[in-house]
Amino acid sequence: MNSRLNLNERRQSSTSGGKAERRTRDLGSDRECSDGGDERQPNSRIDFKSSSNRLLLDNVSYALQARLAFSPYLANATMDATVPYVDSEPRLPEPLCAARTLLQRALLQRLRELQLMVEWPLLRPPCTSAQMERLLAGGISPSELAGVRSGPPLEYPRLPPSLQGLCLLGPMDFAVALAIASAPSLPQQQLAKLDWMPLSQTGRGGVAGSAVGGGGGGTGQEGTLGWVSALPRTMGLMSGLPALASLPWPAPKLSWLRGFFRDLHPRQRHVGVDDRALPWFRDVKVAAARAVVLEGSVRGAATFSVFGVPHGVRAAVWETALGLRRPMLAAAIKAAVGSSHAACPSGNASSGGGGGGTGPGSSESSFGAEYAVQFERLCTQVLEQPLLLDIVVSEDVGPMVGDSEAFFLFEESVRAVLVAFQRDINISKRLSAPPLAQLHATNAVHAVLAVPTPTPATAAATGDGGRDMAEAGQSKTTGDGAGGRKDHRPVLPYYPASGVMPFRGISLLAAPLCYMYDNPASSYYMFRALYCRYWSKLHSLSACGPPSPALPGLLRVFEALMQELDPQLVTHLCRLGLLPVTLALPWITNAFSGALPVQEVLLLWDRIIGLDSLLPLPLLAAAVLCFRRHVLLSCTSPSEVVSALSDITQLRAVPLLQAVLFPGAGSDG
Amino acid sequence: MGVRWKCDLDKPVLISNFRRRGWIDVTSEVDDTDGWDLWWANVQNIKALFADVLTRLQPHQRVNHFPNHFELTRKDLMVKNIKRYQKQIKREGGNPDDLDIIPTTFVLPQDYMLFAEEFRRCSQQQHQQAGGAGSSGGVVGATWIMKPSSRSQGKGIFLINRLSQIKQWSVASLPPALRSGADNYVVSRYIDNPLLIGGKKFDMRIYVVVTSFKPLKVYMSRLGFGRFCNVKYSAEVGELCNEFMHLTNVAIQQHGEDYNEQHGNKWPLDLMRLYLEGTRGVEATDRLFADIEGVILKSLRACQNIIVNDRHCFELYGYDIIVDVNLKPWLIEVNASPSLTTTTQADRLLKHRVISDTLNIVTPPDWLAITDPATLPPEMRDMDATEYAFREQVGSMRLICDESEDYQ
Repeated sequence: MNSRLNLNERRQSSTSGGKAERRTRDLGSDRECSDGGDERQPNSRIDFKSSSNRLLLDNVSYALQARLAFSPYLANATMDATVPYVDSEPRLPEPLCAARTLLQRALLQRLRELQLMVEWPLLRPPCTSAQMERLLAGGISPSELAGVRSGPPLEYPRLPPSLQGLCLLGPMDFAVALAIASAPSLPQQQLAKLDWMPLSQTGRGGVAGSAVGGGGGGTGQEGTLGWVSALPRTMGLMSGLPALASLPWPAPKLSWLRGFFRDLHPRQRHVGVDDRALPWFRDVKVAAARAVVLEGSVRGAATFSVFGVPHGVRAAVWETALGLRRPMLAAAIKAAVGSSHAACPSGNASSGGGGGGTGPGSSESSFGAEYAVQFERLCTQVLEQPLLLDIVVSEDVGPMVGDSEAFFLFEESVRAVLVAFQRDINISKRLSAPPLAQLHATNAVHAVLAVPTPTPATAAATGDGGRDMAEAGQSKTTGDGAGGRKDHRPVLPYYPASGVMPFRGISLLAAPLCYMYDNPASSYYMFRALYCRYWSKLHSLSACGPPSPALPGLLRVFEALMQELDPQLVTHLCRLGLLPVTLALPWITNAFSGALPVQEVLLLWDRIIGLDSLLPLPLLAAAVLCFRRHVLLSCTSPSEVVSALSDITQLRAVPLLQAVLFPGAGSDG
Repeated sequence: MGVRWKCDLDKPVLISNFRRRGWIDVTSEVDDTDGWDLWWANVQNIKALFADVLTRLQPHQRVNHFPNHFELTRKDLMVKNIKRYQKQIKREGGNPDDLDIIPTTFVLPQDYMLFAEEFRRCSQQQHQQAGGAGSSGGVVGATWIMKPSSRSQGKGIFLINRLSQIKQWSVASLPPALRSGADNYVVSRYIDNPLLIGGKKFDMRIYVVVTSFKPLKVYMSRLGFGRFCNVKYSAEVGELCNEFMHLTNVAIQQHGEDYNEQHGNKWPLDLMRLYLEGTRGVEATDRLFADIEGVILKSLRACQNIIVNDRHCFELYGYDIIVDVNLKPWLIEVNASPSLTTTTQADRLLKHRVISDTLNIVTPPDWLAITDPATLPPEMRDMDATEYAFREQVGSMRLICDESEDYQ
């Protein structure tokens, strides 16, 4: 897709921007009025080729070919032949592999559907340098513009209401794919119709109003779990998601988890538990955290993080634990931390300068100026050339962040972070788990669009926008084929450049970081680090096992844990036609962000970083279900269950984890 | 017999609180003087109630305003009282800078000459700082904000940066009949460096309950919210007329294009605190919230001697506070009748709890023991009044000042 758009850009750059823009707009309106019969009679249009206007011709034929390629009549014909995905994990167990294929097909289908319904990025010319200059006049930085919901630089198209809040891949798709992939027996027929849930049903009004006809309640009220009650009841007949049984390792027992989580024992003092009752505890922890940061040891910071980090120093501790702090800055930090440290005991009045210095100081000194420049460069790319996926991201940010009481102020920051994230070529090689669907830009565009275009090499060599792809190629070859890909093959760029398809709720993974940093560039690098190390596993079907499993492993752990902790509850839920794991799925894929209050989410993430594992997620999900068991056992319908779990904002993460791991050990959960 | 309540405001958060307690609604009863125990009145009825010299309230009866509450809640009177308090502190040898809690403010038209002088001085200062030539001095200057003294919800507010824009408020230009009329304005230095979050300006709404001015007894709620503008803030002169950018009043913002009905542009105070701790550090945040407490207490002390300390009265104030980039809180105004209209679900929950906690404060066990012993929890019925626990924390409300010890 990238190279297609680059081609477009090159074409445009030969003429003046304003003129080109006007022409494209004319063209757009032309296409709009001939919307209906267009695909059926492409020939009448191709007569245009006789036109002398080279630019117009190019645009028209391009638009027509795009239309043709995405027309429903061709949709099924070339589907399997052209799935242009990277085989990221060759030794994946068969059922997971099948689930992955299903999801990849659904994703491509939805991409096509999106492209059909939204004409915008295909025909929007890239910004000329003059336009860019005008945009950035008055000292506005690109990152400020990249996040704007709609404005002069990024006119996101107005989507029809059914498409608002759309997603390419959501928790429901995972549930369905993992359920069908290896269940030859009973539920196959009922599930089959869910196979191709079209894009238009993933939006806000989607699931509830769909043919599947769940509880009928709007997804708005039921929150992230609304879709669960729309799943077919027959899923309850399964003992668990069948694809998970194929994982090549046994699910850990509670006793094993107790050992793994031994540091969470209530005999230790924890931030998130004890700091509420003991005000002095926070001050002690803050002082200790500064010492840990000063020392700069990754292991030390991680060990510290297991017990929770007081909020003011969280950014510094996480950066240390994730190895993001550069040693050369240690001295500067030392000075900053030292001064405030010294000022602390000397009374409120004098700590003014020092105390004020630690907050912003720690957030800015950690990522140097060149990081900010890099981030601005990514945001410039956003302004220069939009991607189709920007719409997907924007529709995720809108409802998840923009409508949220906790996050609405950070809507623009989060959007900027995510659209920049999609263009960052440094991501794909750092991912700790292979992404579910990595599209090769060239394959996707060329095979599906069937447009004769130059090879990626020439596309990269020409045109200004090819710069990043050239870099991508370089870094790929120098990075000796990370991700287990063959070395001798020419390296193709991904679509999008990050190689990561936006998953429903990805914005919720970025939003809590806005409570730690006041500039989006810093949030961006923290988000990137967390995504590469942890969150990528939540959107992957990798089969890796404990101590740090990916999504299938996490769900497996959850299933085993529920079976061990509360078989009665599992039976009850299954009798209602609900698989417990479907209830936990959205919590896990969003790492509880948006479900729990912000401070609890951050306290939970402390433990994830400290233990360097995502296992706290299934554990907490099981803990929530067990904690609410009395309510759940009295529920008589799936929608009651869903509404009983729709609001968990009153729960506290760490005491719940302790209650499950060490019952009766004096935790005040 | 239960607690009999009257309520002049048709607000669901109030009514449901009274009903939930099983109290008896006597709002529509005709007999006014004795037939109620607790009256949530509007300010007109308060005026009427205390204007009538024949009224003798029973010792246990409670109303929700002090007789001359406007000394604090009318913008011009608040300024007058705080300025007088500043002078008093200065006389007593204290540091008047401690009382720098409101932006420089003048009451128009009375103080017009003083204001004009200050306006020119500020403008000159600004021009010198900007390095501009003095020739344009006095034409476009610092920004000031004009507010009618006794209107609310952002009505009649506008920003000025030229003296000529408010010439009609100079005394000379007014006909004598209007010179001391109700159409007073206050003009304050506009805080043009407000703390921005997500690029947007906000003010804080903080709930404060005063049960007595002498001795001063004050509770402050940890529930509250920041009210945000829809539009990103800019100090550009050309944007002075954009009220969606400058005025945070919900009554105004509700009509903005980007008003979001899910959250109503309100951000809970505890989340704001979390954000500030994360981005400004723990110490700075603790200091800010301590300073806010200080601002509230100073404003109350400023009119402590003026307010008629009727012991039947209590008051739920809504404080509006703006924080600037240096994390200094500025008192903007105090509302005697903070809005109890609810916009969102979260808003409804918050206001319901604030009212509930307020009622718990003003109906302590010893009051209930006299009024309606049946509502007391069984274990408290036989207790002596002196044995009741000292209530430092009532729900979300924390006692931040209690002078009653000093007075005995």
